[in-house]
Amino acid sequence: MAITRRQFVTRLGTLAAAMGMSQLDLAKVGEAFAHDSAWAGATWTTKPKVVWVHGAECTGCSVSLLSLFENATGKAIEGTSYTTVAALDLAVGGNGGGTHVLGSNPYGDGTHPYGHRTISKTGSVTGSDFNAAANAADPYIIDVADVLIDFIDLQYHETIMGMGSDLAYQWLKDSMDNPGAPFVLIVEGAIQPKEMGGYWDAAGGAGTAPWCSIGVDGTPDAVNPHELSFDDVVFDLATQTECAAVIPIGQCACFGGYPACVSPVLGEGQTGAMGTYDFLAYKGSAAKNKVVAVPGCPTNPWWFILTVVAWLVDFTNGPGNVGPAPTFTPAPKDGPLGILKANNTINGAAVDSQRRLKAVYGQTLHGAFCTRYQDFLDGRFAAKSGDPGCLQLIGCKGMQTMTLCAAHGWNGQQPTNDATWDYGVQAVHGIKGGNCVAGGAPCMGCTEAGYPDSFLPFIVR
Amino acid sequence: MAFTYSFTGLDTPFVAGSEKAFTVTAQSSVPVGDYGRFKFTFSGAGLVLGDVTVKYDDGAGNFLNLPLAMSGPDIVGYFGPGTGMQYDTVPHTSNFKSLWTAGNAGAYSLLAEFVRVSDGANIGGTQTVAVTVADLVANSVIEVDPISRIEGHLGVKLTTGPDGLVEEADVHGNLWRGFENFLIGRNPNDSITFVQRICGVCPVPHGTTAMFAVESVYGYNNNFQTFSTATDANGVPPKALHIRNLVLAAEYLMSSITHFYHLAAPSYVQGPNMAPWTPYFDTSYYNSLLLSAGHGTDGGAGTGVLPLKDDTNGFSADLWSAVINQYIKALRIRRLTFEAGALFAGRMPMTSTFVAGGVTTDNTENLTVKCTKFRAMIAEVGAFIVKEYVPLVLALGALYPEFDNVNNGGKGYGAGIKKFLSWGAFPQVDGTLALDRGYNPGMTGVAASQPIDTADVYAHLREDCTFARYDTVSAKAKAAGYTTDGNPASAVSPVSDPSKVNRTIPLRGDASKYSWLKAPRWNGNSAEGGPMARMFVMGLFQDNVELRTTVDLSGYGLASYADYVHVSGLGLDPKMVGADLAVALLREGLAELHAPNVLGGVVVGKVGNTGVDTNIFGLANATILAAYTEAGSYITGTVTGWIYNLKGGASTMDRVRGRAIESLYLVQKMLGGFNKTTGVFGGGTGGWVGDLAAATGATYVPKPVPLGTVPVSGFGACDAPRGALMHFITIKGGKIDAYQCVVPTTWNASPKSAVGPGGVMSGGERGPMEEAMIGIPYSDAGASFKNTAGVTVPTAGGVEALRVAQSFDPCIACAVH
Repeated sequence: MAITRRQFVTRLGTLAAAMGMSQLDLAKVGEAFAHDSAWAGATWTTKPKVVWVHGAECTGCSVSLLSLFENATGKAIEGTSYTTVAALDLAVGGNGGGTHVLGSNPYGDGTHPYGHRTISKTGSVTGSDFNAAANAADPYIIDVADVLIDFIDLQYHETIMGMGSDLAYQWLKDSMDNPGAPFVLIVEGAIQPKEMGGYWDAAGGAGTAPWCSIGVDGTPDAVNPHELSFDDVVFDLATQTECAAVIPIGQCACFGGYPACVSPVLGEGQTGAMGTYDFLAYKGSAAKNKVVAVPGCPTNPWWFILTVVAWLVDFTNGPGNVGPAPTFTPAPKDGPLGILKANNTINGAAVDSQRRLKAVYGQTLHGAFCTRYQDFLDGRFAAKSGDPGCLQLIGCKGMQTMTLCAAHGWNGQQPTNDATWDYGVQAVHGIKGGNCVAGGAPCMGCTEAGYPDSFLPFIVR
Repeated sequence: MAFTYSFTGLDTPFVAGSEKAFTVTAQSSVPVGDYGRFKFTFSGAGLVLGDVTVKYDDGAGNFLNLPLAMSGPDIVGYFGPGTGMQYDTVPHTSNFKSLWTAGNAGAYSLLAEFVRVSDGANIGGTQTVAVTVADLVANSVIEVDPISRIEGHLGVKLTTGPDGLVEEADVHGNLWRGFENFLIGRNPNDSITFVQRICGVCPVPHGTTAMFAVESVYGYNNNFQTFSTATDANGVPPKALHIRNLVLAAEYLMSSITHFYHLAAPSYVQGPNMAPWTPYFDTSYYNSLLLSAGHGTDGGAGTGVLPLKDDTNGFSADLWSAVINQYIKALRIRRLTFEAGALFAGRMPMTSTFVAGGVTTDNTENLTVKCTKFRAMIAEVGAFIVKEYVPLVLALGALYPEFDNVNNGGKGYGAGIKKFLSWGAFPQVDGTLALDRGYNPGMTGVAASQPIDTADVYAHLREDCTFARYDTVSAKAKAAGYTTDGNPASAVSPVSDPSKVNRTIPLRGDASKYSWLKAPRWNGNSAEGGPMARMFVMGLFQDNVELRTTVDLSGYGLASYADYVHVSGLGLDPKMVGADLAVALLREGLAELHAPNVLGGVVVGKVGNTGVDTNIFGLANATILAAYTEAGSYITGTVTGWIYNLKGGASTMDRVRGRAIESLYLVQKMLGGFNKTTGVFGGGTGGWVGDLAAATGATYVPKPVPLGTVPVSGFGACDAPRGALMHFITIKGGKIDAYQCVVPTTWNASPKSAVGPGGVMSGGERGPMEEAMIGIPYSDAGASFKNTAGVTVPTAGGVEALRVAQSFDPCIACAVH
């Protein structure tokens, strides 16, 4: 789903290298986004259609995604000759010259088939400011507005969409019954099968009423209220042939997360909450093979973008059409990144045991990119909160946590955005990423299955 | 007999409140020589004069009232010349319109006859036709679910009356996760991280409240005691206090800005013509000035662009464009709040750096660079709040007056319970709170706000589970502390004391229980929290008092609200309104720009409006800008008056407005007061950021975890953006023994209670949001969408209910946790 041009291409090099795909042609990137070619062949004639559903969740991952921000100035991939502008241009079907993406008018020059807002300077993006001239030297940036307007067809997302009330219910119901066209299913939040009673089963807590319902028919029927139980929604959508991929975002959707927590005293979960893969497996559905996990609590927008982009490149250039006729040509084949097989199932070799892409979740926080790694090497350890030094002795889980937190950072504190900023303690390689550890908080292990129960206490006071 | 009658338009029901046409055609088989006229008689149960009105066509297309009178139980009217007429054999058709008032649904009959003028005798035969009258809304029970553009899963079951207005509302939360239970047995400090996952939209207040709760047990504070480090050397250090406040304040700004632009506004302003803003409600739901007709891309056909700008001028093409521009810009602004907060929070949206006793920030770190960066980011946010957010929010009331309070001439849709609660927030080093604590049941200013202390909380705060899906009456519930007074020997009750309950026991399958939210009550009272509530508690809003005087920020070291926006005696100060928004208002004829010198001092506005003589579309960008920025220029017009003459009250708009005014207030606390001449906050050095930059010393002070086997209890309280947030914790043997959260939306979207004010049984109240639904219309005018097969699927409406619900900025993940 959410693919920004810049984020797509800037980290694709990392991705490709991690997968042994250093020969990856950037043209393939463009192909993935060239709506008139690959997507059209896949009956996906416009932007990728996305249905995003929320279950037992806190919306934190959506909130995180809304904070997407990348600086598009500079090289697309460090160490290559590709500029970001050239790569972005390729991504929207240009020839690399930049005419498709850059311009003084931030709201599109009308030449792009999908009316892209052209990539613009900071001042222009602010739209109503009079200080555009003053910001002429500002970098070109991409934010979530580009995603929402340019790259995806976000059909359903209850926190953003215009729909509401019965309009939303009828739309979702119609999609569950008759999706009509290929789509990507994003799941945010854990799934609580309504037949599970959790700890309170014996206490009268059991029943068949949903733990989580996400809509009711506007004209209620007392006998059959037509309530959309979240587990049914996920199952119905995921098992449609038109569902091209199932991407759980965040801990809860991937592994059950907090709703699946078990109190050490009570000894059993509260509602039987589980992650998407486990849920589809529990239901005996082969749709589980379409699942790629993007955990994190919350998920960093960049991890999500990376994963989806990787999937998208493979889907577009590999299995292609998953929906009904017309027949896709050329014939389905394995994806070039090795993520997807020709039958549109995830290649087990590309994901780890938790169904995270190895390319994205392939390194630990602990390492040379950590802002406190030099402290670790020098033997400086914090003994309590507020102390400088490596946080290992007060509960840091960085050694066992696979995450890009250190390498890429959070909240605009990405290493490549502004090398002149010092966000905290200087890292060994002069690369500084904002994250928990940079703020003095031990890594919690929030990208790992088993979080949080297996990673306590978070901090040794 | 001689006459035959035929009718059209009477075969379908009359809908109460809607005028409907019908015709009567009469033909006589023989000429009628006597002078007569037509007589209509409406018969049916319970008819009284005024239930129905009839108009007739005078032959020229003018519909005039037909006099009606009671005749026994019937309503009778005569049609035709007063002196009567003779009748030939040609058929004559007469056109009528009829209006039935609400409350008359049922079956009636209409008797048509031709009667002699002189004695009233029937001289033409009779015919009777059935007349059916239906209520305005055919369905008297409607579900509005999902309520979108909020956090979490919320719906409301509306019961409408015959006039189409809501008579009863059951607000229901649709998710339960069990946070209070799975916290049992864990390290107290871990709760700070756990509870932030209650809500990803407002995690920091949850973390703050949990931190306060744990600290109250550890001995850093005494529940409501507010970190007066001057008197307690072992309290939380000032540096940590400032960091916490700045991170929380950044989230406040994020929450309010996100709420207005990205959650609430799309219910008033039609979005771009593409997903995810399509499908949307029929255009009849929107103000015509805020419709996207002709705008936006066609996501399917891929033609056109988003024409947000007038390419020749560089300004938004109209008000719709200006708002959509702000929507896009607000995405950047809300991101900046996170990036600023993350400088101290490690990352956002969920901070990892809060810890009982301080923050985890390195105590050796020089925070100067971060403070400078933080100030720069929030200053941009602040400029947006001052010039775009506040003026637009205030102007919105002019476009949707039904949703504004009655003092401003509105209908007061969504007024709600009018009892307000705030726990306060942002404790200061001197022991004060930047946002006040109190309970205000009167809307009459700060004097009506009752102070709250720890004892009040234990005495007055209860949760009613009569209609909430929790077991409060079984033996297991009794053992878990569900008693009226905490005494296990007492009779169990649906009302529980959150400070004594140690388990939350879900109960599914009881049809009488309709929500996963409990019903918190303050001494039995339903109470609303959130920005509007805080404005009333602090006296910044007062009933029927103008905001320009009410929002007097001088008591907080800041200039008054009127000074911000008003040029005394003239109008709105252009410096305080974003140029894009101002030009859009001019173009819509909602405002006029008076420039003393540019353009020869003429008034700038849209041609065709009173007093406006310059076509703004013909002016160059530079000319408009020069007029706009010229010293001494000012803006007048209906909308501008709305911006600086608004009165306080309770309504949907006041809730939305409260967020903007509070943001204006808060950003000045963070950075220092705004100087509209220089455009700088706090002279570039003031506010909490300045305090943090100057602070020295530790960021964290350790205290031991109580390890005794005797349970120790306490609570933490911190107002979240959405309202009053409180966590109760009991620690035993160093581990959490009980945890209960009483959350803002649990208050605001609570179901009904059985026990009312003062503990009166069966005197329960609706929740604040339920109360706010009462009296709003339910309209289902033509909403529909086309599915992937191109088939039009009709749907019900409910956007009015969405607006009211969204004005609370409800967070259901919070509310049910």
